[in-house]
Amino acid sequence: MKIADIGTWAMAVAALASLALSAVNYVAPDNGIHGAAGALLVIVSSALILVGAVLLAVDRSASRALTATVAVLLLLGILGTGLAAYFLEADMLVALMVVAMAGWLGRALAPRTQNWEPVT
Amino acid sequence: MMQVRAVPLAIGCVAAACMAVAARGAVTATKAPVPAPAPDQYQTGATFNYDLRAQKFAGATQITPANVGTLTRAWQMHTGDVSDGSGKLPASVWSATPLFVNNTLYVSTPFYRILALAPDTGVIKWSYDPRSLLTAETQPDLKTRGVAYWQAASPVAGSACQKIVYVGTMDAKLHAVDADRGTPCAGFGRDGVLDVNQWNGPHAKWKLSVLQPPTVYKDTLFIGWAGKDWAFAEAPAGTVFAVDARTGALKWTFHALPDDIASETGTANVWASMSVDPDHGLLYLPVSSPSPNFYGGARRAPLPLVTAVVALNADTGALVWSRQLVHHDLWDYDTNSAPVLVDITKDGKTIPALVQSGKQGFIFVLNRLTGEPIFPITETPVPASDVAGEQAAPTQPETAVPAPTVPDTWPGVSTLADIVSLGYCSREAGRLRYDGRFTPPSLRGTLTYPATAGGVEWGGGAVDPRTGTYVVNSSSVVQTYQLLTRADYDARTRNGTPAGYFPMTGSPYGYVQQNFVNWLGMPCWKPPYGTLSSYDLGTGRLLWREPFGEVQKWGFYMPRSWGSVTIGAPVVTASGLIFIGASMDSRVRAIDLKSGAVLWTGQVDAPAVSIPMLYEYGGREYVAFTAGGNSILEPKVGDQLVAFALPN
Repeated sequence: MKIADIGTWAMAVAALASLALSAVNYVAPDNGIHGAAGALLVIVSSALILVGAVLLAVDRSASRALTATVAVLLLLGILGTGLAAYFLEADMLVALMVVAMAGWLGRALAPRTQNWEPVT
Repeated sequence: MMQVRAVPLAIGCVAAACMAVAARGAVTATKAPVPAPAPDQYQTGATFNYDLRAQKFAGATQITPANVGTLTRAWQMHTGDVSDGSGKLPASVWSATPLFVNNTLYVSTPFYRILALAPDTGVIKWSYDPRSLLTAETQPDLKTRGVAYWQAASPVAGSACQKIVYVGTMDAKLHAVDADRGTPCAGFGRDGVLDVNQWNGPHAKWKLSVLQPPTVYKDTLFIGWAGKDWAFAEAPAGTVFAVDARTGALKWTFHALPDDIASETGTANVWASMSVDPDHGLLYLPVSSPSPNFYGGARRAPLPLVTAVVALNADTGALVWSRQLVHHDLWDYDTNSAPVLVDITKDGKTIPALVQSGKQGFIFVLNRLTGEPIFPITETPVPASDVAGEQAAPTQPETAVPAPTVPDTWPGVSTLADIVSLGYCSREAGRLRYDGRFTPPSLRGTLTYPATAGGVEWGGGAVDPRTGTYVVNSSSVVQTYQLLTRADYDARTRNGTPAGYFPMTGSPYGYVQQNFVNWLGMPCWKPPYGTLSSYDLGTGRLLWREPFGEVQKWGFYMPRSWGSVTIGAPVVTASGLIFIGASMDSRVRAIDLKSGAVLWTGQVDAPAVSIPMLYEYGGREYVAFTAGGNSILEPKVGDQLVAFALPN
């Protein structure tokens, strides 16, 4: 698997976990943000990151322009979600966005021809 | 909830009917009375402010700075008595201190029910429903600050009502209930209900409200009341009533206003809690401002007992001394909390002191036997009024030691709020009149700092009497005060009275008061919006001051350096902790008394605008908070009573 693919899937997994966690935050009492508009916003943004990351991961026939556009939107989504999570004082969400950001960087900076072979 | 008056029956009802009325409040089954030690004059937990001296000091040592981080929720309960104001009922404001006494936790709800709870589980032992009027009268919200407790010094075995819990209502009915059984005490008032409005006068333009629990000393209840001194120029005079704890019979009354001025003004009531020096038999009253709040052209006579702290002989009501804290009050700077009584050591001498915080941000430290200042109070020249008919006081009492809880000048325009509002904040700040502290209300609008929201609110401060360390939370709020000609006021309110408009009927002016915010609701002034401060009362030195609490909008927490507006008060423990709710963020905190560092945070359902109760039961310490919210902070209400404890 290519490092770029690992990065893409890391974004997707982090977004999926963020989606689940923010959904719990929205409905569970005693966390200070349940039912809050900010918590709802993070649910939506996590879902969008998930869709974008999966799109990049599975659709290899997309044009370079579309891929670049989605990548930029993902960057904005990750940064925005991370910032929102910071102000929601949702530390786990912040950590997940750090993972997503690492995935995004991995995808963006990885050599395009490099393959990664797992050690067996 | 049914909206039924508590005592609707006329004199002459047959005995059976009267008994039925008396009994209807008891809802749940009763338990056998549990023997409990009689509360002494210094017992903590039996009164609104912990003890009669309002020290808010708990001798707790089990929960310490080292282990408080492990505090967990021991139990919680929801009273069900909550309203967000969207239905038929006004919004609820729950500021009750849960009392721990008689091996029971007693608390009243905003619907004026009394709940008696098991201290270790929160299970209801009994409840009493006065079936009170649930409408907005003097206050826009349904509001309670808790119950009062009295116990006979020499209980008669087998007799009921040797221990009594009292709750007041919006229409000033004071209910007396047997503390063990939850049944009305028939010997108190009429069938257990004392109608305080029977003494309303001379301008009974509105019903009095008893929302602050009476202060209990020996066999006497001292009853103050809440009103609305912004509505009329003439208003009920702010009488304090001393009544017999067993019967409700009137013992004495106290008037802060001279009789010969009653046709020109009113109120100067005591709506906050009081304190008592049991050693010297002195009762201390925080007396509020006269009516109408914001124009004093018709009340120019000296009124030395209003917006003042007043010491009375607790047995007779005779005036011992008084000290006015604001002359000719035009800002609604009510003296608004029970003065804290503590002996302090200054220059090697022990002085019986009184600490009076206030909305204007000053902390006055007085000799509580004489009223003389322990730290200097200076009469400082202040701005004159530019309103026809008004004559503001030329000077106001100010003190620099201890340092005021708010700065001497307003914090200035917030750059962020100004940018977001495209310069609205700075334009308004330039347009409004502001000449420093005590700038009088004006027709063009006055920028007022601190405003009536504080400074320090009704909770006041707490003190460790062993060290003289005094802790107090304070808000930093800027408001605009504007007088309106009567014609202008009438025109603006023709189709209804918008929020912030106060008629002051009978005076030449109406009045409008607004928070100084931009279109997004952002404060136009710089943070912090709330702080927690610690002082050494022996020297008056500020030990530390930290931004306190957080502001939350749409779930997002603003930077901690901004702090939060606060309502509620701290409690200090012998182990060196401060427990406090009070902030807008629906969190409760434990803070290191030495450093001001936050050591523990707990989440609750709504802002805990109350004084927490720290108690030990069954060998385990608990700290209980009522989390009920207050519309002044934000429109978030709750009905949660929650207790935290160390893990078993």
